[in-house]
Order: sequence, then structure tokens, then C-alpha cells
Amino acid sequence: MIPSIQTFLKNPSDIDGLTKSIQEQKVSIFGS
Amino acid sequence: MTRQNPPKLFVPPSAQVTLAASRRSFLRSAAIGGALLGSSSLLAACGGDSGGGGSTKTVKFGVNEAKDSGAAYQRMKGFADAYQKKSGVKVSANYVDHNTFQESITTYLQGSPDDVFAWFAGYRMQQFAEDGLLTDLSDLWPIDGMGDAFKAASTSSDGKQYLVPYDYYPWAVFYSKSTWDKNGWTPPTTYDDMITLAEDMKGKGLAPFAFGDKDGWPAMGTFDILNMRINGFDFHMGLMGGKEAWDSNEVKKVFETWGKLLPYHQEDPLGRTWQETATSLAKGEAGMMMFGTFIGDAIPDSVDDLDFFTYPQIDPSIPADSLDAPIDGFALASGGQNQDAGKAFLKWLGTAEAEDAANAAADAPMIGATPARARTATLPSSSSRSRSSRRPRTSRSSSTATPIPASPPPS
Repeated sequence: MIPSIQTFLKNPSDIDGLTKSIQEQKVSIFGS
Repeated sequence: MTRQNPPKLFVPPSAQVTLAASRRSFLRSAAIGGALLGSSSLLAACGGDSGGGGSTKTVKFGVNEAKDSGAAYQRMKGFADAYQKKSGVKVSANYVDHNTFQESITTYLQGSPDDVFAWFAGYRMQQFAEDGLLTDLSDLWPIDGMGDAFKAASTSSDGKQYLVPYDYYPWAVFYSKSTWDKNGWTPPTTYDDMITLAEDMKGKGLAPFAFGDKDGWPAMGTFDILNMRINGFDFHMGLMGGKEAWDSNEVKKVFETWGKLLPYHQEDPLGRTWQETATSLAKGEAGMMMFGTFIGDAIPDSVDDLDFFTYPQIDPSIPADSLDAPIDGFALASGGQNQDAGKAFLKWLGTAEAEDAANAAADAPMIGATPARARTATLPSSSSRSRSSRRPRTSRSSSTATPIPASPPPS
């Protein structure tokens, strides 16, 4: 999450890619 | 350095607060980013006082603040020194940089941890309790002066308590009273008011929002409050609890809004620590700063000039009645070598005497977890009280997010 937020702060335009990436990280860690 | 009072604090009675959060971020958010990965050797190597491991006359104390790093370190040392003096038990303190401590915590607890260590309430505690890395502290509860909200935040999924809270810190928008008085600014209550104010600040050469995220966690506070203001308290807690999707339209709307607000924030935030950010606010380079009440730790000489307001309403259908108010506490590592001495230390750490000792040792005091402590450390702000009293009360709460004492009792 922290790297993702920092990526957003550098490039706030790719929100779809950002949220997709965070969701994938969540699923990989928590399984759903 | 002269000892200062903390910023005046009043948590609106109507406010719902996310006690499940850590001071710096939520567990699940941090875990997603892999922030909890690291090496226990870092914790073992940093700054420890010498002392025997299993002696009944020694308790090992893992502290998430580096030596000589400011008021938070001073308070931790105050805890350790006062207990050592009172009990005759040597407190062998292991002082570690805050971010390093967090990054190394998992392997630290799985290795040879200190007995008592500083940590956070809520999800971040629950995970380690569920993994068997913490000792049950239920026999220390109830703790005198700590209400149900603090107990809930110290309780894991098995219904047992694993934490002794010592402070909490609402997140709000801080500003310099002298700067605002000079410019005739007043706290905004709506998004449009905030933008109008921000434009005026820009026109006068100030960055509207002081902003730094070199530490990785400060920007999480902005995400949290935007999510609460745009999607509501329940959605936010659901997202933090893993029940909502991060690629949902609701979350995208948060980032879209944040993107529109970024031009009102200081540039290059990744190159600025939170202490540097707070300093820029104190110097009048920026007009506001979204942060926790521990902002005073970085600018103790400017605390008397600070005031704050809760983040304005964004969606008119969602009242601005929620905020982050994370809790810090102490836990007992199940891998600690001196369980009895550790528990005895924890029992003392849950007293007002302990908090008084910590605050007396520091340039800036914390806001204690008990009303008795709060009475000594804070006074309600008259401006905040009058503003908040107009807000409707709500009664919603959950096991992980409940209202905290709204204000200190009268002294």
C-alpha cells in the first residue's frame, strides 16, 4: 500500500492501474 | 528546551473514530505494501542497553523510537527510568528507529524479542495475537480509567486482550493561529470553502497543505480521511477490514479527488519527512497540515500557536463526523524470556503514574489513554468545541471503531 500511494503521488493519473495493483496485492495476501 | 503543552484537543462527541488504525497506517494497508517484512537483526542490533535476559530483576523493553529522536523517545525513556526507579527492576531498553521497528516487527517477534514492546491497537495487534506471538493480557483488564473503546481496541478475535494502551492521537487539520489571524482565515466546513481558502493561500505565496511522505505513512492519513468523507465511515472500515475491493468505483473516486487536491499540497512530498513538513507549517511556509496530534513532537516550541479543525465535509450526504484516532500501546511478546517481569511492567505502564512520568520527561506530552491522564495533558479548544457542538450526534460503532471519550473530564 505504501509504495502504491507513493507511486500515486508521483503519477496521479493512472488510477485504474493503481487500484487494480492494490487489489491484486490484497488478494495475494489475504486471499479474497 | 521549555516544556510545552500539547495542542488543545476536543474530539467531537459525534465523531466516529477509527481506533483500529495504527498511528502511522492500518495493518492491512501496510501489509499489502509489504511494509512488515524485514529482519529481526535490525531490532536486535539497534541501541539496546546492556542487561541480562531472563533475570527476574531485568525486563527487556522494545521501543519503536530511536535514541535522542525527540519527544516520543523522551517519553519512552521516561517510562523506563521511572519504572526502574520505582520497582528496582532493571529496564533494558532497546531503542529502534520507528520505521525500522515497523518494517522488522514480524521477524523480530518470531525470533528473540524483548519482553515488553511498543505497538499499536487494532488490526496490527490482532494479527500477531492470532499468530500466537503475543501473550494474553486479559488478567490486566479492566484497567482503571480506560473505557470500553480502549478495551475493544486491545482485544483480538478470540475475545482476549493483548495490549495496554498508553495514548491516542486524533488526526485533524492543523494550522498556525498567528498566520491565520494575520490573514483573517477561518476553518472551512465544506469542500468548496476549503478550495476557496486554498486559492487564497496560494495567492499569498503559501502552499495550502504542508505535505511530506518520505516516511511512507503520513499520506495514509489523507487517504483515510478522504475515504471517510467521500464514502462514509462504514465503507472505510469495511475497506480496512478487507471486506471491500480496492479497485471499486468508491476507491477510485477517492484517488480522483485526491488528484484534484494535490496541486494544493507541497510539491515533492517524497523528499520530505513529517518533521520537516511540520516545521514548514510552523515557519508559515504552508497554511495547513493534515496530521495527528503528535505533530507537536516535531515542533514543540510552536505548539502554543497551533490549533486544528476536523477535515471538512466533501459529500453533502455524508456528515463530517468521523476521523482517525489511533491508539498506541504496549504488548508482551510470547517469545520474551521474562514473562512475569514483563507483565508486572505492563501493569504499571497502564497507570496514570506511568503516563505522568513519561510526560514529565518529555518536551511535548502525549494525550493519555485514560481520562485521568487526559485531564493533565489537554484542555478542550473553545473554538473546536463550539464548532463541533453543532454537529449531529451519531451512535454507530463497531467492534473495531467506537467513539472515544469526547473530552477530558473537568479537573
